[in-house]
This record gives sequence, C-alpha cells and structure tokens, in this order.
Amino acid sequence: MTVYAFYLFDRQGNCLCYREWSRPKLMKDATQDQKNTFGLLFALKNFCQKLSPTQPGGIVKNYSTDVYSLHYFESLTGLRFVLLTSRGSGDLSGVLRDIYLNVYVDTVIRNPLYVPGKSIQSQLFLSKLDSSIKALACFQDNESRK
Amino acid sequence: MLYTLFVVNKAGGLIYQQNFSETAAKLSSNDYLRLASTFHSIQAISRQLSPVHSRFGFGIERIETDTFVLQAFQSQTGVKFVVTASPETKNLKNFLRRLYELYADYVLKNPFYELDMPIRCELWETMLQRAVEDHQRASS
Repeated sequence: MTVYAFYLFDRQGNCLCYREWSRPKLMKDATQDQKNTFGLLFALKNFCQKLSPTQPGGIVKNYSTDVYSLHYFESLTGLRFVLLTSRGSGDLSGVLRDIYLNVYVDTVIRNPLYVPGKSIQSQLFLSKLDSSIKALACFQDNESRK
Repeated sequence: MLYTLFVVNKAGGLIYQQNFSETAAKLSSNDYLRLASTFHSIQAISRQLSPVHSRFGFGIERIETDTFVLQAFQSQTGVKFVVTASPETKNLKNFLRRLYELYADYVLKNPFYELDMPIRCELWETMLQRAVEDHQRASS
C-alpha cells in the first residue's frame, strides 16, 4: 500500500496545496491535472447527492478504481482535502478530517500572514502534513519501494 | 439491501434502469439518463487522473458515501453495470458478474434485441428479479 499524492482545494477550485510522495505515471501538466481533479470531485459530489436514498445525504468518502483509491473530505467551508493511495488502504477520509482539524486549522487559519485563496507556503503546514502522512500505516510501502 | 441498477452502453447512454427498494432515490427518467451519462464521464476522467499505469484502464469500480455504496462493473465491450446499495451490503462484485452473465444469455442472445438500445426483454426481467432475490437471501 502506498500513498501517492495529496491535493487541497478551496471553494473556488484553486489548488492551495499539492504534495507528491510517489507518482509512477508522470502528469503532463500539473495545472490541468489539478483542474481535472477539482472538476471530477465537483461532478462526483453532485452525482452522489442525487443518488442518495436519504436527502440530505450522499457525502462522498472515497472511490476506488482497479489501481488506485481516492479519499475525500470536505469541510463545511467548502475546503476539499484529497488523498490518492493504492488500493487496500481502507477508508482514509477520517485521516483527512484529522489533518483538517489538527494541521490546517492550527498552521494556516491561525497564521495572520496567510491570504485565503493563495497557495500555502507555510513550512510548518508542509512539515506537519508530511509527518501525519508518514505516520500512516499504509505509508510503510513507500519506503520499501525506494 | 440493493437500491438501484443502471446498465449503461459504451457510449454512455442508459439502456436499463430498475429500483429494487422503496427507499431508493425517486427521480424522473430524464434524471436517470443524466446520471448515467455523468457516471460514464466521471469514470473516463478518473482513468486519466490515475497516478499509476493501469493494464485495463477501467476507471471507478466502487464509490463509498455515508448513505450508500455504488459498485460498477465494466465489460470488455464497454457495457457498464452499476448498482447502488446500503453501505453494509456484501458481494456486490459477484452480483454484477452474475448480471453480466444474464445480460449475455437473455439480452444479447435475443434475436430481436438491437445492440446499445434500451433493454426490453421479458426473460431478462424475470431472471434479474430472481438474481436479486438470491442476493438478498444470501446476504440475510
């Protein structure tokens, strides 16, 4: 099990943070890839909300394809946290929620110099994010693959 | 508990839709058509976003939400079988493979059935009902 990448989008679709730990298939264009991801999440969220047997409901937690899984968490303010991992990682949307509560709120929201909508430059955020992801059980394989 | 079944052809058009439970979302037929095409495009984009090379390139197989799960099966010919069910439902993959067998037997072998057109075969409906009952019985 490996962790591939992390995206963080705001309400407007700006990618505030993109981190990559392992990406065997190289992207041709990073901005296009981020736009595609945001668009996919938007469409997926609407799709699931319509299909849900109970209204309101149908909040996406994760999806799996034959080779990867995408875990998703959206805060009440429209902030979208995305994690790409290999299959078999279980449901990591709770992990994303913890990253929001413990890492994002403390290091970004409480940072007086942060401008909403700009990409996150704070070293503290990036290092705390790295350590949270590395602490995951499924990250062990990243090390063994190197 | 199963909620809804969609069968989508390789162009993304809905060819069959059925609700199995009163608790399933009740939408108009236009809505179902739109949802089927939306799922088809979502699957295509998810293939592009893959961080790893994929041998088959099938896209989304399973979506988990807080109120339902969605399992999809895509055949080599591009026909997609999509089922939504309550979160604790098991064996959806096998159920879809069984549906694919029934599709091959009762829809494709029907000489009056035109490929990629909406499915209107009586035997398909009967066998589908039977497969659903078997699945409900097996999981309870």
